[in-house]
Order: sequence, then structure tokens, then C-alpha cells
Amino acid sequence: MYESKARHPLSPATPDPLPHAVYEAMWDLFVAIGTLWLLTDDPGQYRLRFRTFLENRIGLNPLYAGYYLAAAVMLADLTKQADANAAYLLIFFNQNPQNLRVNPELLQAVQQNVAFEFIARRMALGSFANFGATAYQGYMAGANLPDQPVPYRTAEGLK
Amino acid sequence: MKVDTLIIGSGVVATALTKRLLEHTPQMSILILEAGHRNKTKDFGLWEAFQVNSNNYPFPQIFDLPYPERDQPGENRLIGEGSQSPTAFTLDGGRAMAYGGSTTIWGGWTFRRKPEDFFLKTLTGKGLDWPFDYDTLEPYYCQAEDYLAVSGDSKDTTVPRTAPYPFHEFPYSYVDQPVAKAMEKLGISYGHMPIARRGVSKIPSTHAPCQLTGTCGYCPFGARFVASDYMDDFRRMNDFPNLTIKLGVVAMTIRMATKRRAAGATYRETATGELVTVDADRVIVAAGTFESPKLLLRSTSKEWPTGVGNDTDNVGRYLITHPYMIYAGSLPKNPDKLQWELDFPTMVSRYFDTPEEQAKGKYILVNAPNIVATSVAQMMQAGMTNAQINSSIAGTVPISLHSQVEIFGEFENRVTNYHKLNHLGMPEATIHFKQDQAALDRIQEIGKVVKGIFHEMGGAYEDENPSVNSWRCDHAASTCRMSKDPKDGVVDGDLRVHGTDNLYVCSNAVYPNIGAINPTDTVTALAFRLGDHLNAAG
Amino acid sequence: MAHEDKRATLLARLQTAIELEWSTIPPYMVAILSTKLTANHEAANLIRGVMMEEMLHMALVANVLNAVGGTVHIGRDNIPSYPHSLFKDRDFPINLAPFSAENVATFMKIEEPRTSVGVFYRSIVTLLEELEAAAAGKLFTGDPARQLYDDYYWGAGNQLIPVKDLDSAKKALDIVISKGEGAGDHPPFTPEAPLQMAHYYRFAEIYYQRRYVPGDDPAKPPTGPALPVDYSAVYPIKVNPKAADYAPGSKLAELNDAFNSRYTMMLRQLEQALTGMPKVLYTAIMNGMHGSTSTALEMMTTPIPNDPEGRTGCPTFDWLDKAVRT
Repeated sequence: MYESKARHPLSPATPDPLPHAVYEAMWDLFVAIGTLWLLTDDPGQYRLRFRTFLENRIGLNPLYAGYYLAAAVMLADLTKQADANAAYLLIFFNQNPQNLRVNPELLQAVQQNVAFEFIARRMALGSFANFGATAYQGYMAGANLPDQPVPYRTAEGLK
Repeated sequence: MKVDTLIIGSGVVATALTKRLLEHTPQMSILILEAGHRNKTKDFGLWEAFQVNSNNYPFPQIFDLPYPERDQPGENRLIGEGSQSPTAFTLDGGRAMAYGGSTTIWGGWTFRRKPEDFFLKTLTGKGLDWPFDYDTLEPYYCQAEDYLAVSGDSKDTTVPRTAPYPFHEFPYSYVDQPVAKAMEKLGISYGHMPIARRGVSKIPSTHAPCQLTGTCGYCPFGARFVASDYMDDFRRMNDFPNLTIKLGVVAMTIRMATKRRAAGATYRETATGELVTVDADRVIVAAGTFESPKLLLRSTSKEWPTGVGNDTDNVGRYLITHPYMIYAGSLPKNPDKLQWELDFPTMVSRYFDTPEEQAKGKYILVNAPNIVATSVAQMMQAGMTNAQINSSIAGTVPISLHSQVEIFGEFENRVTNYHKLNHLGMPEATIHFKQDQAALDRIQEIGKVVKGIFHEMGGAYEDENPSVNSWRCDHAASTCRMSKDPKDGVVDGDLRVHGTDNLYVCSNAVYPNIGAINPTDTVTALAFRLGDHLNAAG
Repeated sequence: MAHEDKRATLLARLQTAIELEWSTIPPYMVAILSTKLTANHEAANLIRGVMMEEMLHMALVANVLNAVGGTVHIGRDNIPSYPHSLFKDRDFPINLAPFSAENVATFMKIEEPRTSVGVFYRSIVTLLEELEAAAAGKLFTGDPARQLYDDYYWGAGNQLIPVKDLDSAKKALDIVISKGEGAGDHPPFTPEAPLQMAHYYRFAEIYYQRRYVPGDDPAKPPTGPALPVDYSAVYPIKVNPKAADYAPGSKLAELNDAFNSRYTMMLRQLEQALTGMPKVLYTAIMNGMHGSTSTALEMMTTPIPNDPEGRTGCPTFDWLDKAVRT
């Protein structure tokens, strides 16, 4: 328990360096994953852990504060041009039927460092179960306890 | 500086040996030298980053760079040939140069050698026998498995054992089912993978059990043994005033007082370039299969003109590793939605790891957990919709079986020092390696067996060539091999360098042969055995 | 008492029990972190063992509360502030303070056998028995998905018992009673591992700087081998610090803010974990608890500027409202 926590020397010491509105925009983006992929799990259960994730990403690399800020600004701008759904379709699916104006390099940076990471995190927090598995890379499924079933699908009918 | 025991390298051998020595003599002075650096383990933020970054290790500088190419600087030098040339034998990605050594990144497969593996020469005429037999090492295997926190099937009789594993086995996963059923039809036996993942037992522990997190490359709990974690905990929970670990220092030479007695070593502080001399009553070289012989070879003197222990020209020779193959095929449909759930295998077949196969090269077959390598997140990131992902998972899926095969030491396959320094300030290596045609033929033969298994599963497999045929150094061994007769090897059965009184090598380097299985259980057992030997010697 | 009143009393007492267990954790944690390595490692290990078990006890009580359909509350109004007192009749101050003989004596008092804490826990058992007897099968109606299992406690197996009926509830509470504050008279010691002793005796070993051995009379100090303790090898941290003790904008104020922010998040995640989302416990412990110790240690090694006694910082364990907005 004496391990020091990994932190970038340039990262702000305070864990909530971003304006509240940025966190809200990131949360909306995270929730949109469920809407776009028809996920049935309640994202509310992930909210505190998602916030921890954002804090830790910034703690490891101060650039992430910039990515989140840029993503929030871009989302606001795209939403103003059309609506939030159009913004999410562009960010997650590269679909742009309404010809929204966006800086392609910025879009790519937001996809790589924000949106795609949110997908990976969301799946690991539990949404993977929508696709038929019971354990997943990054999901803390549980221990292999004596005399209890394991938290993954096991083989049946083997000799 | 003067110490009782100098250990070069800080991997699992140094950790297990230090434990055994200090529990016997708490005041003993021990100095451990490590060229690499400390990595942050069990950090929740690094774990999250690892998880969302497709499992890229958050450990800078621990691997060799690839060999140099025309437009790209690199490290080390290969003089080799084989079907995989110019990568007949690769270093990068296979070993970790860090506090904790390669256990920083190991998979944790913890097999025991079989009794016949100690008698390769007698049984096949190839290579060399070990100076002792399985029964000699068996009690130390039990200790190693306790220490490494192995979960395994104690009823498995593949290799005899006198004590159960500390934790019970992980049940076969669902992705094992089609493979296992196919093997059953073909009469190929299989068993549970013994794996270094801590479980839960009645014995209280300060270490956390595996929570099946699926990110074994960076375990947030430290449930997969990492030597540096155990060394840190060992120091924290005890008071050993004379134990010192120096990181970022490279042992350059072993200094000999006389032909038979090591006086200590000279190391270089990488940050300052300063050369420091340390005296020691005994020196243990535990620096792995490459650095151990290189250090001996660098340690030349009037008494040892070609390097200490090298009068018979065995140091650095007989280099072997495991060719590691992935045989890939496909299943036409996947109605049960088999998916990648765990990050370690639960099933292994040692059916071809038998005396009958020994002369041709024993091998194991492993059902890797990513037999169906679908990551839902990656599909989403590629822009696939829910419906597309579901039909992709249920449709044609790629499957694979992994295998590693024993190859045999050749005098000309060797490691020596190269005159450049790598990014950690260590002398680079020159590797001479020629892939043996018989081994390449064997790999084709294994492909035929795998094809039969895939066929039985109802899967397709067009090619008998593996999709991956890696001769990487992960399990490299034999470069300071044990021998009864000094003319055949570098160290004796007590791991002491032939012709010396107080210089030892403890590493995969001392294995006369490797067998079909991973080396870490055995090297940990050897470290405990060496500890008992040294404690008895006083 | 009417049935409904009894049930309300039961739920309130279980909630109090959770607060009681939690209130010991910051003082134990501060004492452990204040010791300099490696001088007091044995003592620190003993306190750490107790602290881990307080976490276990809190989880066991939560299992009982959830099993009878109650809801755990952890928030601004029910976390401890220091100096803290356990019960009105157990009115001695529990401090956030460095490792010292005085502090260890307080820990012994916290865990003292035969006190009102034991009476309190036994009253919970009685209420459970009476309610179950009055309406069999109607008491343990909580959602089983809220139960914590052995997955979540790593000290040793078979300890974190899921509660589904009176029998398992009594087993769970018996672990809390026998190890912790509610223990009764201890029979003469028989050979057992130190980690199986009740908390009081582990602290007594530190206090008397000796180990218990088989045959020792539990009413008397231990007579076994010496247990080395060095009260000078300790960071001179400020006792029961307040946020106002650290000048605005100073390094200690910044660190304290970071600590409290993480602490608040950890408490909120703990509440989630105990109210139906057990898996959040991993983040609370791995990120919140482990992650905040490095900040606490940094504070303990940072001198308070111009402090006449040369003291160093210590986290204040405050609930931060700003960390509640996510």
C-alpha cells in the first residue's frame, strides 16, 4: 500500500482540473455509446468509475485534459450545426450525411484518444455482456473460489 | 564495498534465492545488481490505460530493440539462417531487462519437466543429461509452486508430485470445449494448465487473488507473480539491514582473485559512467541466458584468457529456445458465441511431451484463450453496428492452436558480446544461429496433427504451415549448461562454475536441454535448491 | 416494541454499526503510514491486519443490512471527523495521530472486550432473532445481488459470508463480534496464528512490545518473544488536522485537497458497492484506497511551514462537496 501512484510530472495535482461542463459532455458521449449500439445495461452504474477513469487519464498524461476539452468544444460545435445525434454518428461511425464542418485531424484525435477509449472502457465495465460473453478483457469478473462456480463460461461434457 | 553474496540480475532467481538465504541468515549482506529499472506495477491508472490501449505494456525500455536495418538503428547483431531469416532468432520482445526480470511480463505457465527430460543423452543420444534426476528436484518444484502461487490440478498424474498445488485449477473454459472434444475423439489426452495465478485458500495472504480481469499483461492486483513485487513485499514485511538492490547498474566483469576464487565484480553506473568495484565472498550470476554467459566471457584474466569458466569453450554455446507456433484455421459458424473471456489458457495437451517423441522433439499443444480472437470494442471502433457485430461473432470465426517444440543444442549456435552498448548501457549481443532443418520439418508434422484436430472440430485448415513461427528468445537456455564432466559444460550439478570455488550461475542458461515446456517453474526450483546448498555450505 | 419499530431499530443499528466500523479505519491507516520503514514493520503489519478486518467487518454488516432489505448510507453526514468518540458511554477521543504508545493504548480501548460495543452487536442479533421468530421468512427479503462474497476480501478464504437467512446473519455477526470490539473474555491462549487473535490482543502485543505465547493469561500482558517497536522512527504529523491548518495555495493544502477529493470519491464508490453494485468495490479499494496512500505519505513527509514544533502534514479525511459533482 506504499506504492506511489503513477502520475505525469506536468499533470495538475488536483484531480478535477476541468470545468464541470466538460465532464458532463464526456459523460454524454459515454452514454451515447449505449444508444448507438443498442446496449441494454444502465450506464448510470458506471458514472463514478467513468469519472475516476477521466481523472486517471489526465493524471498519467496532461494532454488528456486538452483532448477532453477539445472533444467538448467539438461536440458543442457539431451539435450547434445540427444536433447531438449527428455529432455522435460522425465521431463514432464517420457518418456525415449533413456535411458538418469539422477539422479532420481534430476529429481523428478525438476519436483515437477519447471516443475509442470510452468504447473500450465501457465494454470492460460491463457492456460486453450485451454480446454474449460472461467475462472480458478489463472486466473484474471475480475469483476462482474453492467449491464455487467460476465467473466465466466453462466447458461441459468433457471426460 | 564488501558483501557476503553478490547476485547479478534481479529476476525470479534473485528473489527466490535471497528469500532462502535471508530466512536462514537474516544478517547476511547481499547486493543485487540490476541493469534495468523499476516499473510501476499494480497502479490502477496504468491498468486502465493498458486496458483501453489494446494491452500495450506501460513499461518503457524493458525490451531489446529489433536488429538494426538499413534505415533503422537497432540493437544486437544476428548472424543466422533459416526459413525465418533474417529473424532466425530474435531477442526483441522476448526477454525483459528490468527489476523483476522477465516475470514482469511472463504468461505464468508453470510446468514441471518430466523425468525423461533429465536424461536426453541417455535416451536419445542427443545433447546432454542433467547431473541429477527428477526426484532430486521434486521437493523444490513444490516450493517453487507455492512461491509462484500456482493454480493447478493436483490430481493430474502427468508428472509425479508429492504435494498439492497451493491453489486449485481453473476449470476448462468454454472455448476449450470444441478442442477438447476433438482431442478426445482422436485419443489425444489433455489436462489443466498449471498457471501462476494466485487463488484463495485458508492460508492468509497479503497478496490478492486473481480476479479474472483478463488483462494479465498488467495485473492490477499483482495476482500473477512478478519478482519485483515479491522482493518489495519481502523487504517491507521484514527487517534485513544488509540487503541492497542497485538498479541502473551493469555488471561489466567478474574479478577473480585466483583461478578458483572470485573476488567480486566491477559494475558501471549507467547514469554517470562511473566504474565501481565490489568485493564478495561469493558471486551468483542470475542474469538470464544471454547476459550470464556474456558476463563470463567478458571476465578475462591471465588465469582465464577466454573468459571465466570457458577453458573448454562451452560458455555461450548450445543456444536454444522454443520455436513457438500458432496454427490458425476457422470455424464455419459460432452459434454459442465463443469469445475471448480469459487472458490465459486453461487447457494444455502434453500428449506429445513423452519419451516416444523425445528424439524428434517433444511438443505441447495449448488452446489459447483467444482461440476466437474477437474483441467487441475493436469491432465497434471499426464502425461495426450492433447487428454486424452479433452476426460476425456468430458467423465464421478464426480459431487457433498454439504449440512449442523442443529443439536441440548445437555447438555453433551461440551468444557472444558485441562491442556496442544498448539503451540500458549493457554490452549488446551477437547471436549466431542456424535453424535446424529437422526442427522445421517437425513443425510441419505438428501442423498435420493440428489439421486433424481442426478437422474433427468441423473447422477448416488449408495450410499445414503455422501462421506464426517465432524463434524468439522467450525460453532461451543452455548457454552455461550443467555437466558432470567439465569438458561438456560450464557449471556442475550444484550450479558452481567448473574450476571455481565460489562462482555460481543460476538461470535457464544452466539447462542442458529445455524439453517441451516453459522454464520458470524449474529455474525457481533451482534457485531454492541453490539457496539450500549455499546455506549448508555456510 | 411494535414489529415495524423493531425493524426500524434494527436497520438504524446496522447503519450505526457500519459507521462504527468505518470510523476506525482512518486512524489505523494514519498510524500505519506514519511509521518509517522498516523500523516498525511488525507493528505496522499488525495494525494493517486489523484495518483489513475492519473493512471485512463493515462488509459483513452491510451484507446483513442488505439481506434484511435495508440500504447503506455513506455521505457527508455519516462519516467520522476527528477527534471521534465511538459511543456516548465510551467517551474517549480517537485521534488521527502518529504511531505512539498513547495511540496504541487508544486502539486497545477501541477494541477492548466486554464493552458496550459487544452489548450493541448482541442487541442486533437479538432483534434479528425476534423479528424472524415473529414472522418467519419475512425478514430476509433483500436482493441477493447486493451481497458481497469472498471475491472481495483477500485476507483468507471463507470469511466474507453472504447473508440469506438468520443462520448466515448470525455467522457473519459472530465474526465481527469475536474478532473485534465486541469480544468477550478470551480463554487462555492456545497456539494460534497472530492473525487469528482478536484485535485487542494484537494491539496489546504492540503496547507491551511482546508476543503472546500459548498458555498466556489473556487478562495479563504477553510473555513471549520481544516485538521491536521504535516510537522515534515516526513522522511527526499534526494530530487531528483541519483543512484550515494548511495555508491556501500551499503544497500541503493542494495535497490535502487532492486526498480529500479521492477520499470522497472512494466513499461514494463504497456506497455504490454496498448498495447493489459490488464490482465498484474494486475501484474504491484499488484506486481510492491504495491510490490515496501515496498522497497521504507525501503529506506526512512535507513539513508544515513555520511550524514551531516542526510537524508535518496529515490528510484531514474530509468530505468534499465539489467532488460530488461529476
